[in-house]
Amino acid sequence: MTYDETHPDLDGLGDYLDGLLASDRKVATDAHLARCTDCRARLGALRLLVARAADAPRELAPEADLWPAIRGRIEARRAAALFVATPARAAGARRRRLAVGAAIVGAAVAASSALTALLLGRAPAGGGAG
Amino acid sequence: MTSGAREGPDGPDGLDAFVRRAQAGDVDAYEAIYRAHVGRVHALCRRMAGDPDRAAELTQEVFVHAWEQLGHFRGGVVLATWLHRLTLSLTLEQAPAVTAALSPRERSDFERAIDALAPAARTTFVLHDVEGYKHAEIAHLTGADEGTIRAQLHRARRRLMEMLSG
Repeated sequence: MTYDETHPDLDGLGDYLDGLLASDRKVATDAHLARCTDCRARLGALRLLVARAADAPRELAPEADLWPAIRGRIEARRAAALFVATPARAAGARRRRLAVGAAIVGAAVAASSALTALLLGRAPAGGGAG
Repeated sequence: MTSGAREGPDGPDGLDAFVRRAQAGDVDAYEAIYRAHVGRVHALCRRMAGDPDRAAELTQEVFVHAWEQLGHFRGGVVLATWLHRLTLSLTLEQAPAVTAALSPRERSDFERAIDALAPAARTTFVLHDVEGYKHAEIAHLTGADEGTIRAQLHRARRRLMEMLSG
């Protein structure tokens, strides 16, 4: 190892490995690595880490089977969507709301008429008595 | 790498027919798609989340979301790639909230060390060194600038080398 020049730090070696160094720095790093066994060893360890990451398993199974929960969520969403979004169901609900409204209005009118008739029927008697 | 993912074909299992059936509402056909792809989806969720429970939640989320979006899936894109993009989008949006506490003993030292990284460093390391994305692609995906991505990658590698040499 030579001590009369600056050793690239690990970040610099990382940039070297990733091909991100400007050409003059790359040339200088190449020259340094040719002379410095320590830096070659650090670069080797970094290469090993990067290779290990690239070779990491592409697939990892979940610790438990997730399908039953996923299926349950899908079925629940389908049921909710069917209930809310069916046009015929929505139209039926609208018709039912209108029918209930009409029945309430009709009942109110009938009650009002009956009350009016009752009051009118009594008024003359009450007026005659007073 | 254009799509970012180190992608493979859908495999010799001929999932096209299952995709068409699932698009028509067949949940049993969708299970076949789940079984074929869950390992790949979960691997990304697991490494991005750094936590097994959160990873399981994210994997569920991906497959429920994919079911809802399956009608938009068209031939010309490999299903694995489509699912990978969906997984990446959801994990970047929802995954790295905290540094994992302690990952299970059965995980390899390497995977446990990834779990122990700080969230931003873990995301960058997983996307760059495991998944093969470039700095510019990660910057685009995460909204960070490239200098930040480089710094996070350096931090992650330094930390991993410390942990794995100790």
